[in-house]
Amino acid sequence: MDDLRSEIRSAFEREQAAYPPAASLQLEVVREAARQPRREMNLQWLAVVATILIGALVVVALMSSRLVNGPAPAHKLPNAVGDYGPPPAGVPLVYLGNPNHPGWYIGFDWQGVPRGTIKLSPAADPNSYLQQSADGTMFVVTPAAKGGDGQYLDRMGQPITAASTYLPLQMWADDNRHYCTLEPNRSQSPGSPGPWVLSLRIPGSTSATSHVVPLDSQNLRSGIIAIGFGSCSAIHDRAVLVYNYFPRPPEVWIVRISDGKVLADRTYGSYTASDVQSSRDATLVAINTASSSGYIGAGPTEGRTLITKASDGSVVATLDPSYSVLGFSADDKVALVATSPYAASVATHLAAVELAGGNVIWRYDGTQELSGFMIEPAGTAFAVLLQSPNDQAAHPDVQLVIVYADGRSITLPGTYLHP
Amino acid sequence: MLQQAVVTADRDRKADFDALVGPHLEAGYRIALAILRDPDEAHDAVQEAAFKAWRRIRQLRSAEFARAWFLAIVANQCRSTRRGRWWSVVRLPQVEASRAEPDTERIDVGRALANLPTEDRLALFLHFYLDLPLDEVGTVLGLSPAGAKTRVYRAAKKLRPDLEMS
Repeated sequence: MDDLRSEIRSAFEREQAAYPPAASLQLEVVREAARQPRREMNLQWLAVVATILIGALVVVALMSSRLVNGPAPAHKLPNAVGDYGPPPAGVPLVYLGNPNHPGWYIGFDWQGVPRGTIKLSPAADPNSYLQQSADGTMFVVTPAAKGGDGQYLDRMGQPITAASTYLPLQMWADDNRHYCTLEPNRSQSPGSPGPWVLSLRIPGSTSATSHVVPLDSQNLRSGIIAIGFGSCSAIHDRAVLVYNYFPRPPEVWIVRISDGKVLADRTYGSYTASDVQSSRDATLVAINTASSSGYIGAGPTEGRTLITKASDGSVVATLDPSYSVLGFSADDKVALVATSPYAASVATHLAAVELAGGNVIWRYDGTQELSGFMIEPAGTAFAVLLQSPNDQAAHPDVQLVIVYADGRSITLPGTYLHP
Repeated sequence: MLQQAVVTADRDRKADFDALVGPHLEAGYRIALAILRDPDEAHDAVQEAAFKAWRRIRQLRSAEFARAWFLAIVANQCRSTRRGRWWSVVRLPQVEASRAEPDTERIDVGRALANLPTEDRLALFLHFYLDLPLDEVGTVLGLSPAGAKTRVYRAAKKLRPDLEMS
């Protein structure tokens, strides 16, 4: 055991030696932690208010479920753990890991019925993730470690052998055929801000529509390059790029994919807004308040959570400032929101809000933590994954809840693995 | 007067935080690096964990538990970072990995470690690299000391077959 201990220590030492901590780590981290706005809570009155609210919510939930929820689906939902054969063509599916067979993923249709199984051989590295396109007709297995290559898979889960370009910054497009990638322009010196290269690609092809995008801002010059995709819409020829790194001000860029032109660059309030999220079709942008995301606004009033048009920034809806928008339905009529801060190891309370009237059509106030969600392609539903807050494994056991725009929801029996 | 009191309390809190958590930030960064394998993401994770620790500092009942308490927050933050979004992707640009000359005598250990599931790597890292006692390993992993011992043992066992095969 002592030999093994020594060897393990040596191996970790080599890993660690490549990236030693900065000498100023303690100074910087403590200073930033001390600077963050924070909430001084009076827990006694909070407990009283929470008790009253919970009571009221239970009553409302019971009433709304009787009024709004339709009948349960006619089919009986099995606890799916087997092999359901090849996935059918033309049916959008949501894939979850089969807990009994490593490397097997069960595809559920949007009524919660298991319709097919893909089998990865060999099973994906436990440190990697299977990320599906919106309709489940393509997949990418992310590399297990930084610097590796992602593997693209076809509808049957078979590797696409033709060369594909995998980049860490990527997102499946809304046409279920392409994906967007973003990478620093290699002609720039390392660490310098912009320009970036935005590309629209197809798995199995090295050719791409690529354009240099002249992104530049105080955020990107800060040295913290927390940029990512909010949306990749091949259908609307738009990409939404977002910068989310609290307490830096969130920023959004609306970019035309076909020529790389930046159509809009908007920055929101530092400390008052925590992050921005956009709809899959790149037409809506939500600006979430700092408090809704668990950060406590320090300065001016936070107002409300805003839903804006990507095209001109005009406000199309406002939500309670405690609501943090996670995503929009494919028709942009319903927003999935977290009504409690979304953080690891704590329960996440959720709601689906109909944007036209601001009505809550579905609510989850249980004890589970949000593990992820998907948007029904060309539909109105959300697939919500819930996990135990105590299960923080890379692939936790999850329960699938499908939420429909009319307020109905179905919860599949059993648990599966986060893919 | 009230303003003065708040300022004083803030100063005390920063000092408390610096004294209790500050000494463990480097270990937190190293854990984050071991899990995330990306220095930028590791730094982000430690900073985010520090934010959370700051907010919860009053939940810490004794200084002797500060290390395990903070490292557990870091580990949870890293798990959250890794899990990311189900359908989407990593948000930060990739950092080019440095390519040092391979040490052929040791490469199999490193490869075997790299192939271990994250929770197994973390158990070994905490116990064999950071030299945390098993009760603290258990606190970070959310296990009893006996459970932590089992996790470390099983993780170590997974390394042996890898090494013997080559």
